[in-house]
Amino acid sequence: MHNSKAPWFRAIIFVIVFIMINYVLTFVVVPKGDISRMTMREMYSQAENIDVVFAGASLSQRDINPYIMDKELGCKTFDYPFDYQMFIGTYYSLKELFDYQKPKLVVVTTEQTNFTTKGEKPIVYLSTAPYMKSFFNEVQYYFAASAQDGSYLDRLFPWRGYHVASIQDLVKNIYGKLDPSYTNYPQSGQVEAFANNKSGYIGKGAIKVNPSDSKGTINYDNLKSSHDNRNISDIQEQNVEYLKKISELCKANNCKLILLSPPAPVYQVLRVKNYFEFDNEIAKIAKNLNIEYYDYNLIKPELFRLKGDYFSDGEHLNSQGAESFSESLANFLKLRQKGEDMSKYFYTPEEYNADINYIAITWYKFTKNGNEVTLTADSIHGTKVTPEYQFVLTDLETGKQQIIRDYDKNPTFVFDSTAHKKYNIRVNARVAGSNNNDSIRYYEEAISK
Amino acid sequence: MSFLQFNFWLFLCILISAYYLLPKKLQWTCLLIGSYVFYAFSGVKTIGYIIFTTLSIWIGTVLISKINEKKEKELIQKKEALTPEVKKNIRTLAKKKQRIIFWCVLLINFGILGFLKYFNFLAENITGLFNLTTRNKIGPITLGLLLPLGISFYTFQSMGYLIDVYNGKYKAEKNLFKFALFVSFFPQIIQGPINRFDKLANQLYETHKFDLKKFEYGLQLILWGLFKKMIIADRAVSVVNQVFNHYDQYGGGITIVGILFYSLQQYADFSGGIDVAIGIAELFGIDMSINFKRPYFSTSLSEFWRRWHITLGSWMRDYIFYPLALTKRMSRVGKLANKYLGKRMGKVIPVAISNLVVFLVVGIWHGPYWHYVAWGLYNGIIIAFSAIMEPFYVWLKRILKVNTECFSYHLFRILRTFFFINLGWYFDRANSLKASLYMLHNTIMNFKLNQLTDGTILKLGLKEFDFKVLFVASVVLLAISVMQENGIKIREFLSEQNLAFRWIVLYVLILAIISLDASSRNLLGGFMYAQF
Repeated sequence: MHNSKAPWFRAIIFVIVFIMINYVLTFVVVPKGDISRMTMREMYSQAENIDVVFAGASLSQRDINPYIMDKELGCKTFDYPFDYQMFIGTYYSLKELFDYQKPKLVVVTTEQTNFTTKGEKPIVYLSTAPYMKSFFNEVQYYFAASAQDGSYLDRLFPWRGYHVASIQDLVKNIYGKLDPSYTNYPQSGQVEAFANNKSGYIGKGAIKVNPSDSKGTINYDNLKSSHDNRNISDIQEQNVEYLKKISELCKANNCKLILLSPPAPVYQVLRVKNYFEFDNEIAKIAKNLNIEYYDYNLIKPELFRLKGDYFSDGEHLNSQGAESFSESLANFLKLRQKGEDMSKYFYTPEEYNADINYIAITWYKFTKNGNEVTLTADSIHGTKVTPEYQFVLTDLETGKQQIIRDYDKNPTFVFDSTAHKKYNIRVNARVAGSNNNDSIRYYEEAISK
Repeated sequence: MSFLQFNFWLFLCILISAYYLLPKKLQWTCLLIGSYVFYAFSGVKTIGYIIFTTLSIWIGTVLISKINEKKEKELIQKKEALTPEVKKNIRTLAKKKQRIIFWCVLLINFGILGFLKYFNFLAENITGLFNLTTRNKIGPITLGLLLPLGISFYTFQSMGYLIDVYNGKYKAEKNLFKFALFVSFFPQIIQGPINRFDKLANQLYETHKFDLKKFEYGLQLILWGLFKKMIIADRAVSVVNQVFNHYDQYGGGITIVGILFYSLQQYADFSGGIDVAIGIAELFGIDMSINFKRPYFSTSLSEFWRRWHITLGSWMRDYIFYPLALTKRMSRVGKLANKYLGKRMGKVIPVAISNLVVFLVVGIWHGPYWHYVAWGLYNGIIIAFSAIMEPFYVWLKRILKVNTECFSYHLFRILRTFFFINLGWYFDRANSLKASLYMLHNTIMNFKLNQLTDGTILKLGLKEFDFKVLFVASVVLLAISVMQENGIKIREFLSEQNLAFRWIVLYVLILAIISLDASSRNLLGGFMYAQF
């Protein structure tokens, strides 16, 4: 080689070696692919065309059971969601999907924060983009997502976000990634085996949460929350832009698009003062983009009766809830398909509020001034409900319980704590005048000196 | 756009490609367009200010040069016909015209800088004084002024040029666009260095062939700068912010920890940023002035200021210190001191006064806050005091038979200087003058030794892992600095090593920056000197 070319050759080799190091580090350090990888690979490997796709983030993943949908709708459905994904990620994931599948309907599940978010977490890109077959799509997604939050490095060098706990973990990770059941996923029978799971991944992009698991059903007691007000001006133009792109993408592929807010626990709806105002704004945005939008929180009982124990946490349904919701959604889609006016199945905000005749959750705050403790109770309840609160003290040294103030509509109570050193205070909340102990909600907290 | 944003590096790649691929004669034009694109992306709303500064100084200097040329021409053409008195008149008249132009341009530009930077400060203090005397409670007038990016740097750089042209050091640049490039050259615009026209301009205008070795050196310097900024400074800043923003929660021990972290953070941040800037310029084949020379190895405070923010120091020396020290008035002060205090004081007093003024300006330059003013004065006073006390120190060393040539004495001087520098940081970094004094008082009167051992340190915003990273990175920084202090040129040294060693060093550096970068916690947090 001519001498003058040697430095150039060295520089090129230097860059190539660096790229190889990055690949090696990614392979060794980044934990082996999870549900997102399986979902993506299953989508590519579908022998039959997918007719209905449920996209979005964890709401589709946990709330919609594709096996029930298959049965109810009599066609092939698929959950195609990715944890924490925003509209930007959904757009690029769907772009990938349309290269391999020709769905007739795409349902994108959403929540209000999808419109206010300022950027998608890098982990979403890292858990989907590496498994996309289209390099061009991956690169476009990289630049678009990174431009939103500036996290270019996080997406370019995936290994930098992981902390290596031990060498054994690395070795285990390498072995896991070299395992044929991982590298060749999905092999015949693998997805079918998942389908029988009572909890965890069940194939076709869905996750089941068993209600009898320790975190399988939400407990509405001891759930501290706060009132919130969602600012309509916080809606980010970039999110609306990507929703528009999703709509155009579907249109270009002769596919209908539905934007759907799946059911959320009642307290999550009521705690946002202007929930319905914001919801109307989403409906307006969707209408402008020619997208059908439905908020399933407002669905009437004739199509879906929401129960409190359907939820595993503050957002997601457990398998019992998902089963019920999926059946309802399938029925809904069938009615819609028949051309029925679907608006008649939805409550107005006023009707919704009137239907909530109980206290969803309660909690209290306290301030101390010497031995004087001021307790201020709060709760989330229907608009026609007047709450009343009872304060109960448990002395942690003696174990004795005493009602320090009986039920009263005044949420504030001041008491002298001189006689107690370590104690818990519990607030019980009920609808004023009610004697039904089953409908009491409570919140308890230790207040020690 | 900041050096820490990915967009910037994309922009840089495009600019470098265009710079070397386009015909060579277009290189400076390419740089000018690139610089303005960079500036527009960083703050398009304030681009008018830099354009105004460029235009006003260019017009002013061209006029000054023309007057000079006209004067020279007249003196040569009518050499025989003119009497010495007429010649003198021609010179005086020319100088007078030049002076008028010079002062107009100078005052307008410093006026803009002063107005934008200090209006709110002045309004606040005047209103405060008014309220104090009249017992009123009037709120100060505040204008929502946007401070243009790098205004202090480009104003000082172009003012230096104006003064040099006025003093006849060199002729004015006749091409407006070439001059605009000198003012706006993008690597220097955010935080310096404050370059001189005679050192930088020709390099900007001449053509450059792609030099792979220089390019590699530039990249290495950029990496080193990013190492300092992203691994050290962006970690240390968490502790600094916690201690200085909640100074009343900590005793003297933790305050000292905060001060020491600030020493580290400020040096790593500022010198790191300058390394990146110089490295970027080197990618274009352009050498900019160095701005740091291992300042914490200084053996005196005055030496520190010759090693720290060197270009600002030399600007102050050339355009404030010397012009002030050499004025007739200062000479009179010297004579008076000579008469009443002795020959030595006759020399020292004018220098000390000039130093005080210089450091007062340095303090004010840093920002419109009293704690900066106090910090400037502190430095000026210490340096002036040291100069006055110099004979005493010499006497003391002679009496105590101190060996001034040995290592321990050198180390003592370094530590002593480091102590005084850190004392100064109380004023520099604190959120107010009151906070500085409170922290100083706490350091002496309320040490709270237990806070150093009871786990308080681990609650200052850094995890144990970050402390370990910071420690190792600081040891690397110290080792490199010691090597440089011993005359080793790191990049040349590295290039002499075997390929495998060289590449391992570079890969480790790159991977360390990528994996241990702490700036992602605060993506918008740029370089601290970008705010000046």
